[in-house]
Amino acid sequence: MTRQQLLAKKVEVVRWLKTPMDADCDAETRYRRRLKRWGWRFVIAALVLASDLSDPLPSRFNWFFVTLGVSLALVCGFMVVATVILPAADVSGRKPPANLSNCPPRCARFLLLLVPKRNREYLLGDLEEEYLTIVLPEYGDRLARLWYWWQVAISIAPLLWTQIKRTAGFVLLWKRVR
Amino acid sequence: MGLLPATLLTRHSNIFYIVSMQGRRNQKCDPPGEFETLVLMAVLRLGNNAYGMRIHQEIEDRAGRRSSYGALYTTLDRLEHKGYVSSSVGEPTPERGGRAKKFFKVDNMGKAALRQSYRATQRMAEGIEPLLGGVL
Repeated sequence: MTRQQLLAKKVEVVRWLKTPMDADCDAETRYRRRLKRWGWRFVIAALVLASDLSDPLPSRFNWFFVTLGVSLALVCGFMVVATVILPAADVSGRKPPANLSNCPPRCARFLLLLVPKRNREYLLGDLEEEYLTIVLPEYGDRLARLWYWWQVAISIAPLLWTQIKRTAGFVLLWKRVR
Repeated sequence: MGLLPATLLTRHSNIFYIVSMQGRRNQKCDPPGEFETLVLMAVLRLGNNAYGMRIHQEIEDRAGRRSSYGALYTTLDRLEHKGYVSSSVGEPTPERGGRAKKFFKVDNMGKAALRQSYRATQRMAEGIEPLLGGVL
């Protein structure tokens, strides 16, 4: 194999690696496939969790049914999130751009579901507008993605901290009542 | 006859009314905090084009203060609850992925609070230049 052929092969491999997954199909099919993939992963994880917790813990409750119930609730919750909340929150984006690398990170957008609903759409819109019009042209793809992740982190951190405090408060209250 | 006011005061509805009115009175006197003042000034400055991203940029450019969008929207919610600003939803635009903008406008109550805060700062700043080395 000549050097030029090797170079061409390398270029082809790099191009293949850079091609996003499911780039050949439209946004809706891509979204459905992704949901299916994550759905199966979630079911398997829930079953593993149930089987692990069911054996060794002695208690007055039947832990198997408790964990099975929790797992089923989680699966149902996931189905609700996948079928109702995600389409309503429009996490996939109403208008997928032609160049997928211009898109803000999807996982970060998923995390923004933690933001209260009344401001979620406007916050997502503001972040996306600043990302596409200012940060991406000025700093490039990688730094822009980093910026987006940072903005999501500092936006949801106070909300998460409030939730943690609230949960800790409930736990203390429960211990006190018990 | 002497027992009448006490009886009235112990009624749940009356106590609820008094507490809520007290809350409303306190709310009116509540001056805006530092970040709230910055947000109010930015909204006032931007006029009809005051929405999340513009307010965020205005505060960063003029005051040099970096904040998160979460903090900004929490503050705007608080200001709206206090009656200092009002909001309206605009049309969806393509550069925002088809999402709508939320425009804000400073109400009369917000202007009064800002004026009061500004006067207080001015009065406190009078004669402070020499203490800061002559430059303010």
